[in-house]
Amino acid sequence: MDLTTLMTIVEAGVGQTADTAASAITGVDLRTAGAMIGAGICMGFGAIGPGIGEGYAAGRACEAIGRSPENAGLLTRTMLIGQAVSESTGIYSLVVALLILFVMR
Amino acid sequence: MEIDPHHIELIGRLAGAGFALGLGGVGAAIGMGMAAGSADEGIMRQPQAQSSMLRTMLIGQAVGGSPSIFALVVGLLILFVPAMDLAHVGGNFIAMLVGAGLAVGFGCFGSGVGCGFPAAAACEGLARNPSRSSRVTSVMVIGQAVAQSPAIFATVIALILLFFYQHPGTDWAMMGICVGAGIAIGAGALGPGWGSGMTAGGAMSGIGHWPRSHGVTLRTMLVGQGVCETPAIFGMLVAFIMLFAMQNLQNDIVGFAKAVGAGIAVGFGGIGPGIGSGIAGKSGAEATATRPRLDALVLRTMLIGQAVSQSTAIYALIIALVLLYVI
Amino acid sequence: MEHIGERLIWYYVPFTDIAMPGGGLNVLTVFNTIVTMVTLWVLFWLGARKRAEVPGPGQAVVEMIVGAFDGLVASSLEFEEREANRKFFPLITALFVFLLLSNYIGFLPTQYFEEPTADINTTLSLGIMGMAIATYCGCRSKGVLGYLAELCGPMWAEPGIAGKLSAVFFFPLNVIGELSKIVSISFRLFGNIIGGSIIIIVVSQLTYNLVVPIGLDLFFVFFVGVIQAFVFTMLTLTYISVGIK
Repeated sequence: MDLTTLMTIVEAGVGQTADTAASAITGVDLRTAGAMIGAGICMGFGAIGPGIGEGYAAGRACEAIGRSPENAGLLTRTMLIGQAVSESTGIYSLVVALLILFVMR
Repeated sequence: MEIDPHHIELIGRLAGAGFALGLGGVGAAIGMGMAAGSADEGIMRQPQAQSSMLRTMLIGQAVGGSPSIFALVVGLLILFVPAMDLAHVGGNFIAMLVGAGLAVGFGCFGSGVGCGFPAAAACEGLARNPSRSSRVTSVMVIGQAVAQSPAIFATVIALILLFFYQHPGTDWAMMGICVGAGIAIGAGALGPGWGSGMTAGGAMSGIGHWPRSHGVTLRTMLVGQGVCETPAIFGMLVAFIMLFAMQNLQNDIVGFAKAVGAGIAVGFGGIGPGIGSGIAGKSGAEATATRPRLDALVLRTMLIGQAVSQSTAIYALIIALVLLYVI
Repeated sequence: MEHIGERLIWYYVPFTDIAMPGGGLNVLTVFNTIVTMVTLWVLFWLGARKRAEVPGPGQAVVEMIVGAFDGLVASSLEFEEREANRKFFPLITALFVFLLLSNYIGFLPTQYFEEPTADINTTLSLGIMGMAIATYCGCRSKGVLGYLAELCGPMWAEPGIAGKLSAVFFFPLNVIGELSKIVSISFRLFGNIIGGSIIIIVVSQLTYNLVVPIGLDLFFVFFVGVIQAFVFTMLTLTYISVGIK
């Protein structure tokens, strides 16, 4: 059952006349709607991994600095490199979401 | 085809209450289990400190159980809130109930798990150092209270939906706003609640080992928790924008998709950054307790790490705002 | 409930073309900011008026705040001499007490007192101010070229072409990172304060202004207010000290 039928059923149950655009969903509308939800899913779920991974790197860096504070500069630099690399998948998600929104819809 | 309005009402109530109670109870159950498990271990190690450990465990479970109580209250409201206009109950009503259920279900999940970390760490610390019971308990309750604020945000969005968004009929825009706002604050509060609890847990285990550095550790914990909650704040802002400032959202399936997509982006986008900042905060608080003289250095590293790990939450916020305003 | 939406539309929502009343100047925010500043000035003047050897209660409170922040700033900046640490001390202390009193002013039970920090313009300008100071200090201590080289990533200084090429990757990342600091620091404070006030409004309406909102006030105004003021201050201090080092 696709969205259109579901909507018609719900409206029939309410006893309303289908006067809004709901009754006339075109393929273009569905495509745009899919692109928007898809962009949301892309960015939303794509942000989970990098967030946890970068936090893990930061946590380990904190522990290491607590153990050997004289290497703080080196440890911070290493942490930032690792975070930047794991950030790249988040950037891919952002780029793909923007591509979906502005180019492919 | 005719459908009885009562059936439509029932669909919404059952779906919404299912999300609210099913998801909302899981977190607190896990958290309470962690507390009980570590209290067991502690009693096994130090049977003479049983009473203080039992008290700490019960206090921790009582405070940590309140997210599930929020979920219970909202779930019961979803089941029994009076429908204002029963004759015209439609898709809006279903979407409103489902949105409220998603908000409170996901939102209380994270805080429920999160509140378990400090309780477990407190019991473990008491097993090591039973004389510090009152100080450990007070820091634990502070940490749990801060870890619960994402769940409170989610509960309030659910209440706003339940009492001010009962619209008759079926509109794409209204359905999208209800579901989108629910996902935005609900999923957005999951990670921060969890992470904020991890930070409190790290601080508690640090204080349990090194009770002398209690002051600086508390400071690092509160700063770390405050930063952890940023993704939940983003989710709440997007939910408020949808609820109060989106009257001219287009009323077709595209408008529906806009609102739901924005909610998914900022909501699920907040899970990772929230948990990640929590991991960073946990290690930061532990390191501060171990070496209190390094507190400034560790705090700085922790804040940089948390800020970087939250950049993906900001990307998600950008996508949500682009969806709502630009497209 | 309607006025919540009005508040959001009036001066919060970016990207809208809705005309702001008073040309974008929110009279209530300006009024409350001035009230906060005058109150702070009077309180600190009263506390520091008579500098006795054995401090009275007012002087003791002022000395406590000043002493705590002196130690905090010194331990964060870690300069050798005391005077260099003192340079940022007034800024940080003033920021904290201003934010604290701004967060608390919403507790006064009239409609004329709203938290200035519940206006995105206040927090955004404070965040931009903090980042501008941090950038300026970074440029001062490392030179403009040194600061830019730091933006090019940690591998820029290493010999070889790979280090230079990595700047293509790191430079945009770091610039976005610097900008996102402003967004996160100001939206965190704003969201917490306006979230608390909206929660109190909603629960007051649902419980017909019975006892519950007072407990929420205690949590959201006094507890969250002091934590968020401290977080904002600490983050500004941290960004400044990162810029210097």
